[in-house]
Amino acid sequence: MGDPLPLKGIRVVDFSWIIAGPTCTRILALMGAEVLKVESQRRPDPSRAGDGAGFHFLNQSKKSVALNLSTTRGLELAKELVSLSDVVIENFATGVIERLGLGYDVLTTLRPDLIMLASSGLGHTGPDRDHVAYGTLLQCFTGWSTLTGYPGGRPVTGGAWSDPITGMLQAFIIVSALYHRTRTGQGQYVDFSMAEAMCTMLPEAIMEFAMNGRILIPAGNDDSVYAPHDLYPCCGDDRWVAIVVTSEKQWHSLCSTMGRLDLVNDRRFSDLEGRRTNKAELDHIIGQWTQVLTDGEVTRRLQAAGVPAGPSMNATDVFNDPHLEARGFFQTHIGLEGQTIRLPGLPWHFLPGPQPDARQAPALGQHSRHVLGDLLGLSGEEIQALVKQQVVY
Amino acid sequence: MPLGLLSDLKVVEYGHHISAPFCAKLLGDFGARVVKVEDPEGDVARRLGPFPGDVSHPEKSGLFLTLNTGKRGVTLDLNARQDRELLLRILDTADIFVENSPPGMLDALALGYETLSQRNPRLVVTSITPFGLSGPRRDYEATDLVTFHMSGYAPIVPGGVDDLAEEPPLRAGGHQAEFVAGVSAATATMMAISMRAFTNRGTHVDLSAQEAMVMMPQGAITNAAFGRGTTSRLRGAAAPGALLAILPTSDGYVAISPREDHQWLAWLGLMANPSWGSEERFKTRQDRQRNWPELVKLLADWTAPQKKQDIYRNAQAAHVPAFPVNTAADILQSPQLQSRGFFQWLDHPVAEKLPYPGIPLTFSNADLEIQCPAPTLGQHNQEVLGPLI
Repeated sequence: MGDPLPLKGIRVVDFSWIIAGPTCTRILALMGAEVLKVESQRRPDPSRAGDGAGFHFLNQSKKSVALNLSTTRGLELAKELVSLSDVVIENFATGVIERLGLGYDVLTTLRPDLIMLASSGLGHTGPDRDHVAYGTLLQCFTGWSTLTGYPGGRPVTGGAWSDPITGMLQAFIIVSALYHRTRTGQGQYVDFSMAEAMCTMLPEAIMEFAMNGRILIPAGNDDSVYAPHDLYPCCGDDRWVAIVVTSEKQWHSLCSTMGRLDLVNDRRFSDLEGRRTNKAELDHIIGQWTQVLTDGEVTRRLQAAGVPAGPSMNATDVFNDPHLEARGFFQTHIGLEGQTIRLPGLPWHFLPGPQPDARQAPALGQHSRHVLGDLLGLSGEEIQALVKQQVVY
Repeated sequence: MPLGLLSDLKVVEYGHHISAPFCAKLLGDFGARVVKVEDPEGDVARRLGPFPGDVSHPEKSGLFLTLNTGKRGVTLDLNARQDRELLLRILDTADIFVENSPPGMLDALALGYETLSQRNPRLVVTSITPFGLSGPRRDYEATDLVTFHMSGYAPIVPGGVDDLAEEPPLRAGGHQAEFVAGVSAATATMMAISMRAFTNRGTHVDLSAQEAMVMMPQGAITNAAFGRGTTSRLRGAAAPGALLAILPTSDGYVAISPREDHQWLAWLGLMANPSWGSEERFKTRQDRQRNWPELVKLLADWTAPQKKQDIYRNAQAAHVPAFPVNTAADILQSPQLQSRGFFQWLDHPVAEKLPYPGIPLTFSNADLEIQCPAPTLGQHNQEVLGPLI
């Protein structure tokens, strides 16, 4: 489609790195913003390490400008870029960006309507604002880990969860702040707490304690309400299918599909309460049925009968999923070493509307000359001198 | 100061359970005016707990109450022609319509995007579905468990296991896939509103919950993109990841992650430099990664008799990344969250006063606060529908 992308004309100076901030700015870039990723050989984004697989995905469609922020001139150039930009994003520890001379009060003298998003683990106020936080540790702090694990078992870390989800929420915050600015002309300083954002997605645990003084413990793949509700073994190597029944109608359909209509009115399972009480027996019976079938076959048969079911997929399964392919979810790119790679786009379509602008991730400093020349009007000689002085570095 | 950022936007939500209601709640938290439309029997979340004393009550569901703050509520029976007509008229002056009905259901009721956009071309309609409005699985049924497991994230949750059959892939606790869909839908909706400034038209936002979840295991997906096959889930099969240990304490667990060398040395200092600290097998970061299970046993012996908050505070004082593995009780009492005023105590016409998770950020040029508690069933029928009848 020829329609302009939502963030056409918006320029972002991105000081963030690793996962959370780059997730946000990737979304902004795919939606049409010009994202200037400020990085340096002195401290390259850690996700560039090795073959930089993660970097390729997280930094699609961004421009890399190498600026050495430990030099006065480097800081000046960063400020000049900000004066020409709409949004600044950073995820440094409390006080760092201010000590660099790039705090909100300084930057708004250059760009009064600037939108500046400061993302941190616990926020930049409060007694614990200086605590060192990684995303995975925040999963522990917020109670997410306490709820996650095998039934009655120990809490688990659960992989890198808080970074990508808070990155998506940060994109919502930025586009909302931009909307407000179009109506009022006002910018914002946003003090965003990743931990608090995680807590907004754990209401059941919070309310269970507030109402009943009860602490929830890990429940595996089980549910507090529905039954059957679990993962069942299928034939093949470590293959499983998730099956959920949320109504008596679906219960009947499950029994019918299994060829076990005798179970419908079996006193152990004929109502939800019975199915919950006799969960172990019921899960065993269902497992007997699933274990001789593939996860795909169980899914196909149950979905045909209107029962929620789906295979437990690993990354390879997802990557090869014909449904996601049909949705156009993956796009083909050239990597930094000329290799062809397919990467996910965004989880929404505009009907009608433009496709996301998904382009390859940049090499470090790839756009320094273009940005400093075209945007800041520096000559080729000036830029060359700055490279020599390790300012553009 | 202006109340919120989106106060001129009118949102109508016809949502069930979590994803669409949370999307609309986010818009409302940021200042939009939200009207929630429910079937006469109410959103299914009203029948899901937690409930005080475990007694089910449609006005006392902890899940419904938290997800539907800041909204006015009306009931409409979409099987009745006159109620469908009322919904159409409400949507005539709306900016955003968020819904998570099965694909095709609203079209069959003549409430689909084509009809709505003809009447109100500037309307943004956001449809949240499990697999999107197109593709071979368009009409598949799903709940949070299915969506979570079809994203590639489930093998990551338990990490390396000892017994593949006894320790299957896991979904995260609560209903995280639903929330991921809701957050993604809110972002997509505001992108469409942004686009409206150029086109002067709304659009139909097709949000797939599965695709929203696939954005989460980004490391594993990019490994697949780079041709690295998925390794076995057995412990030790994959290269060790980040150095993070969840260690037992006298009152639960504490998590530590002294992954940089200087952090590791500071941590050893807290442990009064045990003799094993200078052993070859733990000398470098790679050594520690290689011998992580043995190392964790030694650490656990030390932490087990201590309290998690003590270890946390002592570690952070030495700049070692550490956090208690908190329960809901702990986070409600967290000095950090309390000092930031994160929990908002709200009254409600029927339910008791409760601490609601509030808004996880502050703006310098806007006030943000939950405006009102969740509506009782049909609470605003007269106010919203009255003028239209």
